[in-house]
Order: sequence, then structure tokens, then C-alpha cells
Amino acid sequence: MAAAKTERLMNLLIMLLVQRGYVGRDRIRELLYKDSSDEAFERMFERDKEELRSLGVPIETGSYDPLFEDEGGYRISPDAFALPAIELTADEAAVVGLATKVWEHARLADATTEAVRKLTAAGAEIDVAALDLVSPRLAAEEPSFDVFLEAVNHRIPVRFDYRTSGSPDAVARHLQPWGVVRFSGRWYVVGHDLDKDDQRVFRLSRVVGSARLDGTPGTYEIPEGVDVRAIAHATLRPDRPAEPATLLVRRGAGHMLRRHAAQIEQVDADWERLHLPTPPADLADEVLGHGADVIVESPATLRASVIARLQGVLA
Amino acid sequence: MKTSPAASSGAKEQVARLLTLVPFLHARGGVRLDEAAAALGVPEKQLVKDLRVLFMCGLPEGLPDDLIDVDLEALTEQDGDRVIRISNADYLSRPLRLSTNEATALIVALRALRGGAITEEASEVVDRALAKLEQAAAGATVPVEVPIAPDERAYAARKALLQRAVSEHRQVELAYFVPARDEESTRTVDPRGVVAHQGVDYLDAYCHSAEAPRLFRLDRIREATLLDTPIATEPTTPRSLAEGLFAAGEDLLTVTLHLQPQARWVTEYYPVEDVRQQQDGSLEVDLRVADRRWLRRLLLRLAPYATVVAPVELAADLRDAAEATLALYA
Repeated sequence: MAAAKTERLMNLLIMLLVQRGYVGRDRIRELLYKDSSDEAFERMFERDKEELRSLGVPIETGSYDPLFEDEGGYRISPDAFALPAIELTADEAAVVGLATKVWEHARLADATTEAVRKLTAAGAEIDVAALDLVSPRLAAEEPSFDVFLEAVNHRIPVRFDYRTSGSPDAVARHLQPWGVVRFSGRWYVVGHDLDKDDQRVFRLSRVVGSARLDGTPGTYEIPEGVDVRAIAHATLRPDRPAEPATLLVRRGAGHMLRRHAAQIEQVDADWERLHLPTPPADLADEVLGHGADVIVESPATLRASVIARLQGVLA
Repeated sequence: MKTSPAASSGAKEQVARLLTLVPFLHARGGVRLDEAAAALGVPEKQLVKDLRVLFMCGLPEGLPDDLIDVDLEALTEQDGDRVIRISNADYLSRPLRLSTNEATALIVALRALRGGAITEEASEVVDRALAKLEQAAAGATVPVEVPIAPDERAYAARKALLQRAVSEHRQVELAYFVPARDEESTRTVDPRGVVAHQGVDYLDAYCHSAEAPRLFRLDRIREATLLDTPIATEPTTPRSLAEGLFAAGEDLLTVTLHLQPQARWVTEYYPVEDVRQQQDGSLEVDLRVADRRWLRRLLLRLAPYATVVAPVELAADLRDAAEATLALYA
């Protein structure tokens, strides 16, 4: 009977919330589980506490008489239970309303909606108004995303198989995750790699199979002052100074390359010279993709690399 | 819990709903049933059921005054005004704290919005909301960072503009880049909708240059301008991409490629039909190709880490292209 059970859970919650001190087991049993056998009471009471806790209700255990080693009792501290007062102005409330449209991930979208309902229940009038905001969408298709999120939230080590870009075989890794970072539309986890004994960044889409929690909550601490965003950036986009490049490009071709050009010179009826002060990191690939429409003039290293790769095709 | 999941999860969910419903009503006094249902995302029928249970809850001494009072007549009687009124529930006047999950989801969403703010003023509003919520989450550090790069912001703005054009039935002028032909063109289109396929967004639109419906990849639209002119074709719902991008009957070629480790990323970026792991760590993949020029560009980009296994004429095509390019360096 769901209704009877709801009633019992609500009454237990209300009783523990309203009492000033700890309420003993016997008293709880007398008031809420009167007709149950010893065994049924134990089972139901354990399960009821567990269900309330899983909703986020903080049931504390303790002793109401410090002089006696008694069985102790239970209470819910109103401060720990209730959402602290939040006063949102109309424009802040509108931003919060927009937040419900950001996640393209069912579980997190639901969690955001639930959070916003609680704010509404606290009195906020949430209304999606026109704002000078574009709402980026956060998708998280990587199956391991939820596992790493739970791991960082509760400081639980994770075990997973990982494939690096150049290597075919997945290798088992053990990580204490410090944070999850999204970078150029992909998710990464930053943490302490227990195998290498050093900080590492892993791309979630390269995790093979499912990642598994490997320990208990609070196993480790996230080092103070660690900036996961900075670590991810430094690893994923190293500050190697891009060498300026000069390319010959056929007229009407190389649109993507032209976007990087600071200066375009006419060479003859067929060719133009592009000066790229800060070329993209994958310039060699980009040049090769254009085939006989682009020639590298400088730098010499880029020219040599393009020639070698073309010779590789003919080898 | 395993024996009767329905009943047990039902009660838990009902408790969660009530813990939000009671403070919602408390903060507002009487609320019309339909308004409460809409604000809380709970159907009216369920809401009345929940209230009936709430009517039975309260301080467990059993005296009438100890129970929460709900004016059920107003909701169920024919002449009731369908306004929810409750009393005697002051101890539940505040909603339950945000769970770790809820706090994480909301705060990360707000951080993303922070990156999507176009004006100083907008980012300041988001910052204020974020600060209040981080405080309400009681110092729960949320170790999830979602910096939004400028190009992502531009992308989101473009998508919003196209969606607006669809809903307002207005034409759009596109500067569109076609990498396979290394060509950029400007065209006027009647947008039908933005549709996604395998993580890539497309604008489905009637193209007045091609005089036919076309799909445009959003990441290849360099510029989109919302025009004042209304669309010149009948508004049509966008096509479904569930069956794939290629319309039936389109001339598709299945190509088998051999990929060395440096070229494996292809399998993550393009829809490959089949991947066969090789002894030496390389891969053999089957790829469906609509445009041979696109394939040639891809293979040149990957040179020399990708080779064509079949059909053989495409292998020769790649060699020819490499030879012609090398000749320019001679």
C-alpha cells in the first residue's frame, strides 16, 4: 500500500524534524509501528530510514543522554533538512529558469528541473524571460560520464580501461578523479593517476567498456587549490608557439586556410601567396587535404613533412 | 525493495513530491489546482491523490489538531473553487535541501550559461544567481567545469537565430562552406527546422539557389542573417534523420579503408559501417561515401596513414592526387 507507506514515511520525518532532541527507537515504534512484530519493525524501520536518506533527508543518530550508553535515538535537524533561504531577483530567477534547458542528458536534465522546483517551492517565481544569453547545450553521451561525476562528487576512485590515440590496446587505469571538464565539446576527467603516481587528463570517449567505482566515498581528498580547468587546458592545448607559415594557394581554393591569413598576395594568374602568422595546429593535415591546390613555401619543417607524407602514399 | 519495486518507489516519489508541494503552498497561500500542477510538473489527478495522503499526515500523537489540514472539498466537490489550501504544516514550510545531484546539475548548467552570456550585464546576472545557489548548496564544491569557447558561443547564437527563423517563418541568408568542393556560397533559404543526427546539427531548408530542399551542417554555416522577408514555400516539418542522412536511392559507395593508429580517429568522427581490428593494431573499416571528392580530401589529410583496400580505382585516384601534388614541389 503506497499511501499507507507514504503516510508512515511522512510521519516519521515530521516527528524527527519537530522533536528538539533525539527520539529513541522504542518511542518511534510505539507511535508509528505499533502493530508490528519485533522482526517486522526492525526491517521496516531500517528500510524507511534508508528511503528517506536516499531522498536527501539527513537523519542523524546520537544519544540524548550523554551519561548513559543507551541505544541512542534519531533526529532531523531543521537546519540540515531545509534549503537555506534564497532570495532571487526576477532576472536571476529567469537565468535559473533557462538552466533547465541546458542539459541534453536525461538524468541531469531531470535533476536540474527538480532543483528548480525546490526553488519555486521556496517562493521563487521562475519564469523564462528574454535575456541576452544564448543557452549552450551540454550533452554527455559518453557512458562513463555518470560514473566519473559520481566519483568526483563523493571522492571515490575509479577503475577503467583506456585507449590512447596512437595505440590499439586498452590499458587498465586507476584514478582518483579531481574534476570533470568539458573542452571543445568533449568531456575529460582530471585526477591523480595511481599507476603513474602523477596528475593526468583522460578523454571520456576513449574509455573502453564501462568505468567502475573502485572504493568507498571519501577515500581521498582533492588537493587544495587544484584548478582542473587549468590542468586540462595546459594538457590539451599546450602553448607551443605556432610558427608563421607561407603557402601558395590556387585562386578560388583554400577557403579554410584563407581564414587564417593575415595577408594575401597575388603571384600570377593561378596562384596567390597566403601569410599565416598563427596557423592552426593541424596545418599539415589541412594543407594535404587540399592536394594540388596548395604548396607550402615555409617553414622548411612543414614543407619537408608534407613532402614525406605524400611520398609515403606512393611508397 | 526488490520484491515490490512499484509500491516502494511509489511511496518514496510521493514523499518527494509532498516535500516540495507543502512549502510551495505555504509560500503562496491558496494556489489554484491547475496552476500548482503546471508549476510542479505533476498531473492534477496525482496532485489530488497526494493531497489526500497528506491529509493523513502530521504529528503522530493522533489528535485532530496534530494532523495537516487540507481543504479537500474545495478540490473534489462540484461547487468547489479548486484552490488548494492547507494549514497546520508549518514544520514543512521549507523545501528539502538540494541533493548533490541536483546541486551539481543546476550549478553546472548555470556555469554553461555564464559562458553563453553575450553582454556584461547578462554575465553579471548569471554570476549573482550562481553565487546565491553555490551558497545554498552549502559549500558543496562542484568539480565540473564547462568553459564555453567563443566559437561555441557563436555556434549557439547561430542555432538560436535559425530556430527563431523557423518559428517566425522568415527567410535566412547563409554563407555556406562546402569542404568537398572547397567552395563557399551565399544562398537564401526557407528554414524548416534544425535536426540532429549522430551529434551533428543540420538545418533542413528549402534552398532557393538549388531550387530544392537541402540539409546544411550548422558547423559549416559561416554566417547566417535573419531576413525580414517571409518564407516563399509552404511551412513544412523538417525531415526525420532517423534513417540516416542519405535519402533512399542516393548513389552510395561502400569503401574499405585500412587505417594505421594515427588515422583511427576517423572511426570516432564519421559513421563507419564496420570496424575490423587487425593483428598489428591497425583497423580495416567500411565507410559509406556519397561524394568521392570528400573521400579524396579525407585520404590526403590522413596521408600516408590511410589506404584504400577497395574499390581499387579509388586507390589509384589517391596515388594520382599524391603524385600531382608532389610534382609541384619538384
